[in-house]
Amino acid sequence: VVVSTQTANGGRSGSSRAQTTVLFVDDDADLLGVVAEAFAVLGSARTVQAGSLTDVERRRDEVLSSALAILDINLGPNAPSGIDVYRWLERAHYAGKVVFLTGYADDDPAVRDAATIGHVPILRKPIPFETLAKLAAEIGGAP
Amino acid sequence: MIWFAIAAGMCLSSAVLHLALGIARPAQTTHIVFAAAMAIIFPFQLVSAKFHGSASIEESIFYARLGVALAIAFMVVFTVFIRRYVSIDVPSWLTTAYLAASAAWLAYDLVAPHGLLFAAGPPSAFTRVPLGPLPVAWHAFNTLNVVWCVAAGWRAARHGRRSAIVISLGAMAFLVTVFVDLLRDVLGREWPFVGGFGVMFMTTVMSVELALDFRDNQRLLAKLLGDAMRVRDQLNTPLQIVRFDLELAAARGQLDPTALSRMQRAVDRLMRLGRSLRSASIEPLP
Repeated sequence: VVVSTQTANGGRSGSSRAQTTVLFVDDDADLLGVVAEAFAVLGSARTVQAGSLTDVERRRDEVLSSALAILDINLGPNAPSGIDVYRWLERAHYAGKVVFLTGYADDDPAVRDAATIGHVPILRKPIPFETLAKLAAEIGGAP
Repeated sequence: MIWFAIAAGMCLSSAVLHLALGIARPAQTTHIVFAAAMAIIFPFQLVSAKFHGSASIEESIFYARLGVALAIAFMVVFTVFIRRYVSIDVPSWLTTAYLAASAAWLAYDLVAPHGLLFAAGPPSAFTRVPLGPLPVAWHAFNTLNVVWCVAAGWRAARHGRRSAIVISLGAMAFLVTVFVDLLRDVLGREWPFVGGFGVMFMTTVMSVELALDFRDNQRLLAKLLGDAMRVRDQLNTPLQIVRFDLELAAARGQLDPTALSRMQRAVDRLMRLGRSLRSASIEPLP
């Protein structure tokens, strides 16, 4: 499980509280890395990467200080899903914007459950770079 | 007569069942052909009942003519079914000869004054068939036809097609009754024609086998479909990584623009390929 924080300049930090922090939760370590690099290129201050709900809970303060949470819906077999992460954020009174991300089709049970959370948009993998730029701009992270 | 009615009911229900199985998407021609064979043999059973209950020579000739016509049609469609089911190659000259012979039998039956069954003359007692070369030749032709069906099924079974054994055994039971009918006419007896009951027995056996086949195919299809959907869904995360990495490499000027655009097109094609796999209209079986 990858848990790290990457700053805009590529360095790593565990204590920074910049306004434009993005939480990215996905069970694929490579995708975590490339999205962090992408946000760095786009000028977002920091990316908090988490591979599971446990990682999110462990990094509670950093997670709750983020302005945007991108949650992969399926986080591996028999593991808490992105919806569970969303519920955890809700209980923790998360103030940032939440977006679901999935590679699965609409008929996947977890995707169907996520769709019932009406106010949270669902993005389909593979999303274009421009979508990340738009999200970054919405939270004021774009240059 | 009740037995003919029961046999007719079984054939009709089998026709409806296999038509329903055959036309369900994706359509299965084997079931449709089998349903057609059963749809032909259904009136044959009723005509047989009327034949054995004939009250006059004219009535007897009329129902015999009709029954023979239906029997010829059945044999042709049944042979097509066996050929499709066991996927056997038949030389085109043999197919042509077979169809020509069947057409000749049918034409003779419809045109001859007393039909094919009474080719040697009208019945002395309503259902007694006078011994003659044509009726015997026709029965022999049917016997050979069913022998071919049994052999084709047996051959497929030897090549590992388990279900073909059942089809072959069903056809063998049918063969016995066809032979009994041949014997009836050769011996000049008046016992009922039993070929229709042979068909009934074969229908039951084959219906069970085809239904099991259908269920197995549905299961296999559902599994393949599930696998395809899983591949499609799991393709998306690697594609996302490649897509972002390409964009990042381009942003850093690490890639030749031509190579970059080529790779982006390849990724787009893979994405379209994944999206073209739609969720199925087939419900997986429990």
